[in-house]
Amino acid sequence: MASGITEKALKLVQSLPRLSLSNIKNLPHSIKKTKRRRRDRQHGKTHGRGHKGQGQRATLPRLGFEGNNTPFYLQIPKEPYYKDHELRKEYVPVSLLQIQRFVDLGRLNVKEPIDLSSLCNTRLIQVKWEQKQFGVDLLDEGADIFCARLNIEVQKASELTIAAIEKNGGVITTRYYDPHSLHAVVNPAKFFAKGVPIPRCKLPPQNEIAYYSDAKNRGYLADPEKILHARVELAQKYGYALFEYENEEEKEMLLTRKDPRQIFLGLAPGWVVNLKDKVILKPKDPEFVNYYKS
Amino acid sequence: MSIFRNILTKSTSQLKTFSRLSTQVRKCSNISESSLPDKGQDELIDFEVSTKEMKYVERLMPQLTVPEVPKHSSYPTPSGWVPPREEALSLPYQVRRTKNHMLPVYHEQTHQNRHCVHIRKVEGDIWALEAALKEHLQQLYPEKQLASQVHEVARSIRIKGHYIHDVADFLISKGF
Repeated sequence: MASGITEKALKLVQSLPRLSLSNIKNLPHSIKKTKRRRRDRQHGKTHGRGHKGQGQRATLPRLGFEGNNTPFYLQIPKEPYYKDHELRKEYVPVSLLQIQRFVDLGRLNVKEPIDLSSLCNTRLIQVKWEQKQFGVDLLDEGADIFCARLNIEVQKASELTIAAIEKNGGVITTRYYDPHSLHAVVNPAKFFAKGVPIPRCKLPPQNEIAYYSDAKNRGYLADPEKILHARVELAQKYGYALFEYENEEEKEMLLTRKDPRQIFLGLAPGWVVNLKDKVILKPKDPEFVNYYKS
Repeated sequence: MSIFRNILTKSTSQLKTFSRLSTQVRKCSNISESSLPDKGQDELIDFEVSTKEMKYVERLMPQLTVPEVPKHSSYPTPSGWVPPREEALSLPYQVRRTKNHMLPVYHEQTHQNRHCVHIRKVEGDIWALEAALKEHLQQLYPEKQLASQVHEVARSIRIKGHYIHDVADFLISKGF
């Protein structure tokens, strides 16, 4: 980008006319008018203060005072309807019982990683970003009957939920999507139809970063080694043995995870999907490539 | 099908996506236009085309119809789902499953304390079903008074009370 600007600047210098007094002027507000004394007939006599009273005698009370009755700004009570509204996040509740039912009825494919896109593609769960919903909260209703082995990615999960999934040999990750990325994740078909580059997912805000960096919540930003320790701890706490994987393919599927900046599995940010011609366009410009990789 | 048509026609042209904003060179009246560099078009960024990752895109496409339920070795399934039985079609009344293969039995609540069971998609002799349901529930709760409503046009029955699980068990036992 720097070379581009220099070239353009040089071209401008070549093409513009010679500098002279007739074609330059000061930057706006760079020269201030000096304040002059108000001595002329217009500004003299009462000097803009009117006649008699507190106004002329500089004894006016504070702003908002209404002659000792309770002023307007104190009369009206405070109702903090929208206090911290930007920090209030909603998560659509989905129970383990529902997930088990989807698996039983063939709505979810257990042989592939399940993320928010797969859940929303069933059309049985709707996540609306415009209503400040940030994803799915996996509840522990049905933890006693849950027996599916799956690789699931949700936004929030309790300890019991994580235990129920890991007991059956599954893998759970909690992950954050910013509203723009969520809009794409929730309806991938509609997003690809736009022909817009896949967005780079933003990191969670200050108050959420601690949650997603914690291994106990299986956060996507947590240290993988700590997650392994947390798995062992949880197994000891709830009294089950950690699953031993025999099938290599299944193990590989269960261990697949998305990059923190990636919103679609197998597709990198910056790519454009052309559904009509069934091709993917990837930028080669190093500037773009570095931006999307960072 | 209409969803697919929309997807195919809505794709924008490839060239528009990878382009920088065109530079706006200020033109002065002193100079003739021929000396300005011709830079009318947008700058295009180099890109490569690939089809290897289309399988991931296809995986992200939704199923447009509700899939058939896979066969299980034993019922009920872990989540408690039971398939409908063919013997149930010989009864004087039928209760059809919803498009998601679930029983059309719902719990309705109004005014905080008014609970009803709503049974939809009833075919055949709806009054016979209502009588059978009331008899079954009365046996379970002899001291309770049962109020019910039959809506013939809407093919539904409403029963006042917290009986959703009992009604569901009854219908499953009948094979619906």
